Amino acid sequence: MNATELNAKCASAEPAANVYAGVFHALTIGMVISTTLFAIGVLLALFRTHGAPRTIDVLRPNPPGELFAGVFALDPIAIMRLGTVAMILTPVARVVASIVAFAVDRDYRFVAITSFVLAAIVCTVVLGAMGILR
Amino acid sequence: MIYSFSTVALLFLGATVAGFFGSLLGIGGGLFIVPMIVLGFHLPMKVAVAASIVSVIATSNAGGSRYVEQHITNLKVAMFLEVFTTLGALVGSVMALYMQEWAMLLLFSALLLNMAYSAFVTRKLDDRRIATGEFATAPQDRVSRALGLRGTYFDQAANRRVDYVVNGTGVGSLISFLAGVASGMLGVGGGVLKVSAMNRYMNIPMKVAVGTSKLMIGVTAAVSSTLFYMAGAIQFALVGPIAIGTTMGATGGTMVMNRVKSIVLKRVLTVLVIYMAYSMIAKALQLRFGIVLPHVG
Repeated sequence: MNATELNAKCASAEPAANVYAGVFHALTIGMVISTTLFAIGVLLALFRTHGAPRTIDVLRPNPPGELFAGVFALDPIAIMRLGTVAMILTPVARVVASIVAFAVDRDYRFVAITSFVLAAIVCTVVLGAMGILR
Repeated sequence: MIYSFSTVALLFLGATVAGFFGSLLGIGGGLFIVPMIVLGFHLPMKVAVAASIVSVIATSNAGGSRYVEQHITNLKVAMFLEVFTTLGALVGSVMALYMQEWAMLLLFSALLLNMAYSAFVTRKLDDRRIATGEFATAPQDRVSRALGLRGTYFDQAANRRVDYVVNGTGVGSLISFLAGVASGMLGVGGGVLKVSAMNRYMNIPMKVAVGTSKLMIGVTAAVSSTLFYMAGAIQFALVGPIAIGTTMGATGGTMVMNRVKSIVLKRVLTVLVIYMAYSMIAKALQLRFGIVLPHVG
């Protein structure tokens, strides 16, 4: 029996098993999506001279509206940008996944605690978007 | 700087090393990434900080998922403390508008030196407590009991199951809040403070502190990254190879961490905390008095 199985066995008595599974899956899916996009982006940038960034310093910022257009045109920067978005969303997705799992477990104290965390995240981003934060 | 095979390979390798140590210690690894970009590739500080904070998410996703799978992470402790770190990060971002950065740097370096000192004097304590089972017999405080903050993991270095109960939720929340303020204001130090606080004040074994912090830093980094993203400060071509590297390095670190004795982890952490405190002091002296000590970050 390896350590993962041993640990899982130790923890199987824990009521939060659903939460562990939810968080693990959210993180793993996010990680696979973003790493795949980064890998495609880096390879395209290296192998395709057309549209590839020759120097890092002169990278053009592409407007958000053109993100998906760029991705479909196989623009390496747009693909890495989409990877960045997927990566940023992953920790948020795991907070959401844990709220759901705590609710399934009827652990309402932790539904409240985790929802508060999500609210604080949203609040910070909204304040930032309004230009109130640094 | 030319985007070539060798540049990409170097960024990837440097990031892999950063990701590895970040996973071993439960921290983001910005401490390694920022100097690598600034010194190694001569890119501006702002670009380096933005790329580094994004790469912290990569290490947290990769390392955090593995520690969750191994049940080393204590998810309830993570969620409870995240309330305070996310609030702290919000307060820190607002305070950054009104406070002098050099004063905050000095304040946090004092806090870090205190953490380094306590990690050093308690360096042998973890392995002894694991051997005697003392982690399980500590008195639990009221909040900890109400929320059921306790847990169990299998320590591979000690080859035994370790049960623990959490206490000191008051001091733990306070330092988690300050860790949030540090990452919101200064963009560094969150992971180091979280690991130290959980281990020093909350009766949480070093490895559980590492696994729990590794998961938690992703949320704060995601919020900071969103702000950088909206400000257009992220260089995606730079982030690509770094994120792949930190992801692989972090995964490697999670395979090693549980086999290492806690005393080794605490020693490495102590060195790192002292270095971080030093670079904060150096930066503060430069900002306030124009005194230049060798430092990066």
